[in-house]
Amino acid sequence: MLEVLIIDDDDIVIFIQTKMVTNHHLSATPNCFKKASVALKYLRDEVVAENQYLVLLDINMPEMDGWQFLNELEDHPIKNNIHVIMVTSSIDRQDKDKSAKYSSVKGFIEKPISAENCEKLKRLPGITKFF
Amino acid sequence: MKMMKKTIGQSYRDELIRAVIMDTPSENTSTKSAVSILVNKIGVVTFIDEVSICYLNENLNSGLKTGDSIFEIIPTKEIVSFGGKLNSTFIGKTVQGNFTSLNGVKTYYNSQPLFDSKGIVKGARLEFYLDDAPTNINELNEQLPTLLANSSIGVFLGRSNGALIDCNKSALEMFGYEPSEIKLLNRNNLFKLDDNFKKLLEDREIYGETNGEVIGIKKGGCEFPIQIFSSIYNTTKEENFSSTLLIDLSQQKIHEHELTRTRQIFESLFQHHPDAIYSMDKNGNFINFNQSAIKLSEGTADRFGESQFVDLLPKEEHDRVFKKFEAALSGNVVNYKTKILSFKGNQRLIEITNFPIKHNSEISGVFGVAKDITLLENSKNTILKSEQKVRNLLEQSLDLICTIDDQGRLADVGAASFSILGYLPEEMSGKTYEFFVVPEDVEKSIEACHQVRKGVELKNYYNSFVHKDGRKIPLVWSIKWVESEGISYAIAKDASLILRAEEKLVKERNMLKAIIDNIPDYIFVKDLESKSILSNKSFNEGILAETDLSKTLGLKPSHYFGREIGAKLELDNKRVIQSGIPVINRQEIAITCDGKEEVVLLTKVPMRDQNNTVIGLVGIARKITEKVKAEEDLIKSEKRFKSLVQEGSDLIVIMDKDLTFKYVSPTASPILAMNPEHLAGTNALLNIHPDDAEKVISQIKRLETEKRVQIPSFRFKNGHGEYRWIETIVTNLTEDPAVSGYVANSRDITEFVQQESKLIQSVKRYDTVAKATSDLITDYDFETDTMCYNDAIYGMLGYTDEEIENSSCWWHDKIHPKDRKLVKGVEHNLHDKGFQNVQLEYKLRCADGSYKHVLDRSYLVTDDNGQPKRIIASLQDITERINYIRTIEESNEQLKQIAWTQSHVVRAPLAKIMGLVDLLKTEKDNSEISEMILENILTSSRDLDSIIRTIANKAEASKTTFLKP
Repeated sequence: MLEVLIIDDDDIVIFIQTKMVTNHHLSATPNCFKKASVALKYLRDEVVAENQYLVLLDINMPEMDGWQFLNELEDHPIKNNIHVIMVTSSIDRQDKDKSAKYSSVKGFIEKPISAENCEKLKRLPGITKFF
Repeated sequence: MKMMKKTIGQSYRDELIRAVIMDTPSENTSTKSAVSILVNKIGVVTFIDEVSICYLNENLNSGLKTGDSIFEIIPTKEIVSFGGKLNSTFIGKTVQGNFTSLNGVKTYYNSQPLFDSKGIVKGARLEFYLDDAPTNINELNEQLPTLLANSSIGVFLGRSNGALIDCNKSALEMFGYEPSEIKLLNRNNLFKLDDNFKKLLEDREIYGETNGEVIGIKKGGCEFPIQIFSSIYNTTKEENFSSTLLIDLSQQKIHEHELTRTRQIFESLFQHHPDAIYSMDKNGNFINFNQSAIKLSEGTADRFGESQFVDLLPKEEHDRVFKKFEAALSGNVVNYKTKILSFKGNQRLIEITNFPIKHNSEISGVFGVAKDITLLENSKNTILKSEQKVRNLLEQSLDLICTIDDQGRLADVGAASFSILGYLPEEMSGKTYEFFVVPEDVEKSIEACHQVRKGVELKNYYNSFVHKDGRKIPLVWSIKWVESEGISYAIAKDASLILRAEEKLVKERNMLKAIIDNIPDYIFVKDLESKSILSNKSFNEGILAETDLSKTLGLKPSHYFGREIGAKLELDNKRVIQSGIPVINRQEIAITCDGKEEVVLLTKVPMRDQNNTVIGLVGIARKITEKVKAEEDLIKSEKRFKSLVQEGSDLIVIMDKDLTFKYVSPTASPILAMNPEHLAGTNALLNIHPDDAEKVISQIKRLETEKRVQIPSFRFKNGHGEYRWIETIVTNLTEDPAVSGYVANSRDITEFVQQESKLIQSVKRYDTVAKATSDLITDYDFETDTMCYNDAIYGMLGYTDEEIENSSCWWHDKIHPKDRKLVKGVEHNLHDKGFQNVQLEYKLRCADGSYKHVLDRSYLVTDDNGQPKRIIASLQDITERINYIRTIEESNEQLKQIAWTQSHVVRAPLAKIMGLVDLLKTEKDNSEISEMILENILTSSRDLDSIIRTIANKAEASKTTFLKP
């Protein structure tokens, strides 16, 4: 199955993204994390090898930002099953270029996430079979 | 037979009868025999037999012989009478006469003509009788048949048609027939019927008689000469008969031939006798003479025949020779020597024998035999001189000369015996050489003498003699045995001198060899075939690469240089040897043994022996490579010098002390636009600018004490009338005979002066700029490690004169410690890496301890060889600029932060609003959700406002910073 994880320190953003994920049927019950470290822990402890994971990750977060999260994810045992989409309010190109260096990052979405974005996510290799 | 006086007429018959009578053997051998003599038409006896010679000698006391005149036996008073008779005979008459001979004997004569084959009188036959007259012819006729039968003359009686009737015994014997055989023959069988015979027959038919020589044919066919006398008789029966007398001429012909030959021999002996033989009459006129006489006189036969003996005598000999001539005319045989002068004037010495020419005791002239003894006399003189020389030789020779006889005895000892051995010649003569030989040499000396006597010629034979004072004297001998004289000729030299000389010679030879070997020239001696006889060390080692001299001997050039070069060298040698013309100092290239080319001066001279025969050649090759190189260098140097003078850029002149040009180089033309030839002879002061003349003259005066003076630049008017600036160095070479003047090297420096002027202006401008600029100008000298600065250093860094030092240390101390490495690196790039200029920024410490930023623009100055000399640097104070830039950079950082804020902070609430709005569209029907959305929109909007206010504040703060850096 496909499990969607929303990681953002802003509650409004989590609200918006949860609504968009559910409204567009990416997941009926996305897992939302306000702390990247908690999300990371979840991925380390709770993941099921057979599942595919779609992670909507914010960059600027306190304690552990998006980049630190990605770094920790590099040696994850089922890294190939985790598809990270960077979701940020930054329009700085440098962030986009930087995220491209991580193999687990499969997309870059400038906030706010749109219906179109959601539709595009469905066509991501690896998860498209779920739609 | 009785002696008869002939009376028969002049016909040939008389001849026949006389012949029969004379030829018939006499029964009565009377002492008063007739004498028969044949004379020619001038009375010279052409034939007289031995009996007649004896008869005349005995009875008339006359030595008449062939060649004498018949008149010799005729007394003078009878000559006219006798001559008349003889003349009658010569016109064909037989005559008689008589005379009383000089010794008183009454003599009768009968003179008959002698005819030649053509019937012409060629002489006379004279018969002489004593006392009794010849018998009457009638008596003769009675005796004729008997006479005919017994005569040794053959007689034929025949018919006119040629048939033979009878003949006598002599005729039979003459032709070799028996009586029975001959009567069957006719004349055709007995005579050769040639033209001559036929002519005789014709004559007999015409004249009734004939005589002549014909050819008879003996039985068996053998031909022989025969004299016939034939006549026709008319008998009573009117039948013609012939009688022919026959005389066999075979023996006479042989005799005549021998006589002719003998005469020719004598004639030849006379004519070709080496001595001059001549006869003269009483006046000394030459009558007869032979070829040698003509030759001696150096004239012709005609001239000689017309001459007298006196013509050939020099005056000083006249008296003496006339006396000899008169003595000969007086009947003496005289022998004397005299000088004669030939017709050509050459003097000869002759030995003359004169004896009288006698006719019946009467002297008619003088015979002479003259022998040319000029050479003989000369030879005698020469011999005398030679003998004198031999005597001198014996007396004067420094060598011991002597003869040794077959017994070993010494003789003819020369005077040198005293000087060499202490003995006088007479003390040595007669003693054997063994007496003088030192004991140890006796045996070998005896053996040597044996060898000499066997014909061995000893040369350089050594032994020793004992000096009279007992010393041992070494001698070297040359001895030769002369068999005909039975003695040896010996010459001995004192060998002690020779030995010393040989020793000296060896020394000299060794010295010579050492010299030759140490001469750097190549020396070689070749024989006629170019084989090496001698060569020196230089040649052997340098050319042949051979240290052992003996190995080079006898070898040809081809042995060392190969066939081709060898043949060339041998041909060259041959040319010198054959022509005898030496090759002197011919320049050639010699190839040394190590393959180098050596320039040599080759001399090849023919080598000759004592007979001046070429026996080889001597070669000397002088190495002149260095010389040639030196000469080439000299030529190059001269060329260079010439080029310098003629084509160089400098004007070179030679002047007198008063500055008159003696020589002006061709460069006057390009430098001064003046013809050098026109300039020569003029005075330099004419063209020197008046303002400069005094300066020039004062400098020239310095040459009286100084060798060389550099005259400061002065102006010289050129060919276009323009003054050009000239720089000149004058050298005093008045003492140098090749120059004898002042040599001035000048060049036009007008351009330089102008450039210099520009430079001065430029420097002035530079100084002005340097002073005007606020930049600090530094000048660092690598060599002295010093720094110089312009005045800007005071203003820029605030140091006082006292504080400023020119050392590089001081300067480097002022560089900010963090920048020192950078500055050192740049200096390194300039000095070692060939960088021409660099630009860098660093900080310098000011007098007050603060630092100022400077922009250093450094430029490397190099010398002519590209070696770094100095670094000129311009330092611009850029502290303000740096500060300004720093302010801008800070502003930029603030702007960057604003931008970041805009990007991340501002957009976060905005993005939320946008997302909420978007969500509201889909959730508008859900009131609860809609309200949450709106609440969130409000929150986000407040956030956004807050953020914008923060940005505005920051921007305001940034603006303030930018404006007040």
